[in-house]
Amino acid sequence: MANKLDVKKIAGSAKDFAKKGIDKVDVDAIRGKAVEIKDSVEDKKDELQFKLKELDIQLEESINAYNEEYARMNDEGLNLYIQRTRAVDAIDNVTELVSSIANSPKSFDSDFEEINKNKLAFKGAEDFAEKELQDARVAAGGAGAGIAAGAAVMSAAPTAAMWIATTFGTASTGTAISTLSGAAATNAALAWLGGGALTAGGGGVAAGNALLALAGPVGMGIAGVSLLASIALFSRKRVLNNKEKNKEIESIKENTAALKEVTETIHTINAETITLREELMKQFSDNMELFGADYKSLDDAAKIRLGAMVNNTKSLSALFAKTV
Amino acid sequence: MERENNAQFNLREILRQCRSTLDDLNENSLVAKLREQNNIFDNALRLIEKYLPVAENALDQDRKELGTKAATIFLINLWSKLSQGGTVAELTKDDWRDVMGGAAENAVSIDPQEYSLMVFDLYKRSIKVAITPMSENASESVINRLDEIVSLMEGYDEALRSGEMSEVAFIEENMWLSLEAIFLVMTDRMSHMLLSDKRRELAEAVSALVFQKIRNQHYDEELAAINECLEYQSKLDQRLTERVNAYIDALRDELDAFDAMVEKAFDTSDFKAAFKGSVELAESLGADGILQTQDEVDDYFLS
Repeated sequence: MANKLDVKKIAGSAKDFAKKGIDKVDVDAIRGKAVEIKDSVEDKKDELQFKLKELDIQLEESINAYNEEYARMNDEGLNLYIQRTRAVDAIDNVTELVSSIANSPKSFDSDFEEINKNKLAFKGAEDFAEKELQDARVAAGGAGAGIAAGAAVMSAAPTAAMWIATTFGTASTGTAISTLSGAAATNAALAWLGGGALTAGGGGVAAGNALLALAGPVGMGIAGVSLLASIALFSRKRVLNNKEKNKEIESIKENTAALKEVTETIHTINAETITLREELMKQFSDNMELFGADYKSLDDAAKIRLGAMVNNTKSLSALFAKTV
Repeated sequence: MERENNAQFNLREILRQCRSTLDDLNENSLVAKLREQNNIFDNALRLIEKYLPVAENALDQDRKELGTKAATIFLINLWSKLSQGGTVAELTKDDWRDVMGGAAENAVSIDPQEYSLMVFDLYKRSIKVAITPMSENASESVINRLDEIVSLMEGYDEALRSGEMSEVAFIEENMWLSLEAIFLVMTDRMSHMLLSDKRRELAEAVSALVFQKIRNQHYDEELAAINECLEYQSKLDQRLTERVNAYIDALRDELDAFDAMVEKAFDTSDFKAAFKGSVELAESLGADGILQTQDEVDDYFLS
């Protein structure tokens, strides 16, 4: 830790003086050395201040990066929700076309059970999200919630809950809604800027020692040692503060990286959903000429095209089940 | 519990030292000088009285610091009593109640920044008091440096009050200046008692060297600690960037494979290949009830 004096070294220097003969010691050289070290210390002090500032900058930047990533995830999630809603419409269109061709609607319903199930799950997630949001708002109004988190949940739009429920799955919706205030919560980390806890309480310096300094060499010695201890305490606190700050930055960066991965995953599901829906709608348009046709009267190519369309619809439906 | 004991121990130790020193001082001519030269106690008490309202979060303060504050204010209160005349032995029960009660209450209520100002104001005034008896015998360079230290400390007071300086920087700078002043004064007093002029110069030079070496060592250690933090962050950034990039690359590969399957599943030029592709695509997405053959398509539409 800071301020452990190298007693052996100092004692060694004293012995050297004694060997040389104190009167022959070059006082100016010692003074010069002291000045040289003083200049070096001033440089180190500046370097320390610069690096302390650097850590603060890293903290601020990590919070900004987290907030930006959180906003990006929110946008991507909302976009996926919109695309999935459009995909539901696309599936409904295909369902209508297939129903108009199939001989037995009853059998068709059964075969489309999987699609219906996925659609229902998606719709169910929307209802679930609405309820979860209401519950979260009630909880946020209670005594246990933090002010920032509570305000964020209270102001959360229903669509935010929708995309969370449909993107992450209903099992984690409650937790996700509670952390809607992710960006706001990181503001607590800002407390680590500057001196952090160091700013409170005068650094533990005892003024009584200043009075002891008046009591002559002994009192002054006590005051000096005590002041040195205060410097060590101050320094230790700053080092500990920086370690805590370091952990805080690490935690924010880890969360930002995790958010980035989630955002990219959502982005990928989104891209897959868009591609598949657009292609399916093109296929649907191509097959619209078959609307209301008698299946038995169709040629093999048309039948296979319809079969492929059913499979592709099931694929789009399966994408609903893909959560992050 | 251990922390509490430490706080109590520190408090007792500080009080013990203060009391014994006060008894010595009471017989010392320096007390008289102090009374003449400044109104240190009155100022300190005015500060304390100004900040009587208890801050809401005061109880959250570190107990150890609270103990130190209490001891400091106790000492100031005690000195205030003694400066009115008399010795520690002559203090009445009421006097002690004032001293002890004020210390406990004010230690909690005083504003942290004002406490910092008060602490170093006391150091500054003590240095001023120490300069006067030294001025005839001490070297010019020592006296000049002590004057400079006092002047710097006064400047920091103003800088803190105006908001140009943070409290952290104020404490740090003042602690080092106070320590340097103590080094200078101690060396001067000790060397006057024990050494010749030539050796006094040497002692002053060695004292300055030792002081700078202590500071140097201190900053080396703090720099090492902050460098460790910054290096850790740099490695963390690198590790996380690599992790996220690998994750994104894997997603891109997944998307490329998906696009290739979609292209095949929607191939308008070859309906049989498109059907096969639709099967593969649906399988890759884990869909149920996939129509694998033309017979299954027929069954699906006709049954």
